[in-house]
Amino acid sequence: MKDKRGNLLTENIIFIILTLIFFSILILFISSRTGGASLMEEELAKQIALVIDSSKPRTIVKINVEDALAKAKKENYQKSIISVTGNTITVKLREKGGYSYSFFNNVDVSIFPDTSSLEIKDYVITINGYK
Amino acid sequence: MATNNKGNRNQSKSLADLASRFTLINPPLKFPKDRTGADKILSVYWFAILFIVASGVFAMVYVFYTSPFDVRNVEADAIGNQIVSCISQNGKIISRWTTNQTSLKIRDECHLDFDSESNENQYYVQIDFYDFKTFQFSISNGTEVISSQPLTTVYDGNANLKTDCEVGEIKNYNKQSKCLEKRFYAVDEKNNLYTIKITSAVRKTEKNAKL
Repeated sequence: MKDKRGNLLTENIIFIILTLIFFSILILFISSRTGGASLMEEELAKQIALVIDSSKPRTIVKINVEDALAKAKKENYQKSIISVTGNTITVKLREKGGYSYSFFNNVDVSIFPDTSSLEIKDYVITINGYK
Repeated sequence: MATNNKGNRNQSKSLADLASRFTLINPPLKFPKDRTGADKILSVYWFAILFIVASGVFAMVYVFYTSPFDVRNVEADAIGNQIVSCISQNGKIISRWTTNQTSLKIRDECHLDFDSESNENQYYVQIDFYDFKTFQFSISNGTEVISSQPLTTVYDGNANLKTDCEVGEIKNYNKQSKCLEKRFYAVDEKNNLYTIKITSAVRKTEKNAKL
């Protein structure tokens, strides 16, 4: 009888552990997919490109990039995360990565981190004028 | 008496036989004390269900998050808006669009840059000027079909994308260019009323659709 109880307990523990492992893998997979740096890079690059496309010259836009900066810090990436080359926006949150997206609005754009506060939270997008 | 005893014995023996047979056929219902076997079967089914549910979740998350964000419709809409504000101001057509339309290059007039990451041109824009008085359209299968002929048509960009727009009117394919049409009314300096249709197409399939 003792043996049977012992077996039952062991089986239950194994069963619970397996279920926990199963759900942990599932949650890890979902979180890795939803909060990945590549996804954030794509989202931010497209967002900025669309903001520029819809803007008129002499517009200044401030964009909050706290999440992206936190991700870059996690990935040990210290350089500027957003850059503009010609009519292409590049967002880079890790050393081996980055996402570029072009905008059609033929304007002169400059992007730089907002240093007005102690900790950088925003980036400033300045649409200066038509080229 | 002896015969009676013998008879009773025989009777009880046959009853015992019958009882034993009855027990064999219908054993008494007893809840099993040892249910580990049943538990094992249940846990196997439990894991099978878990596996099916998890596979579904994996598949959905994988399909959703490996597909890029499709922003082509928003982009096509923004191009359309830029062209509208480039052609007309306060409802009046800017004179250069009515006097010398064919020599105009849309990308220069409307400050558009069609260069992109890809070598091939990813944009197409077309502006059709219709006479407002004779402008006619019908609705067939939920889509508008313009029966009037445009007075002038000006276009720029990759003309191959125009066919994608025509196909897109029948069925929406993700791998094709996304097209958008805008229509507005404006007057020129001589107070002639125009219906202006703007078609904008954005390809950028590699960046916006799962290939």
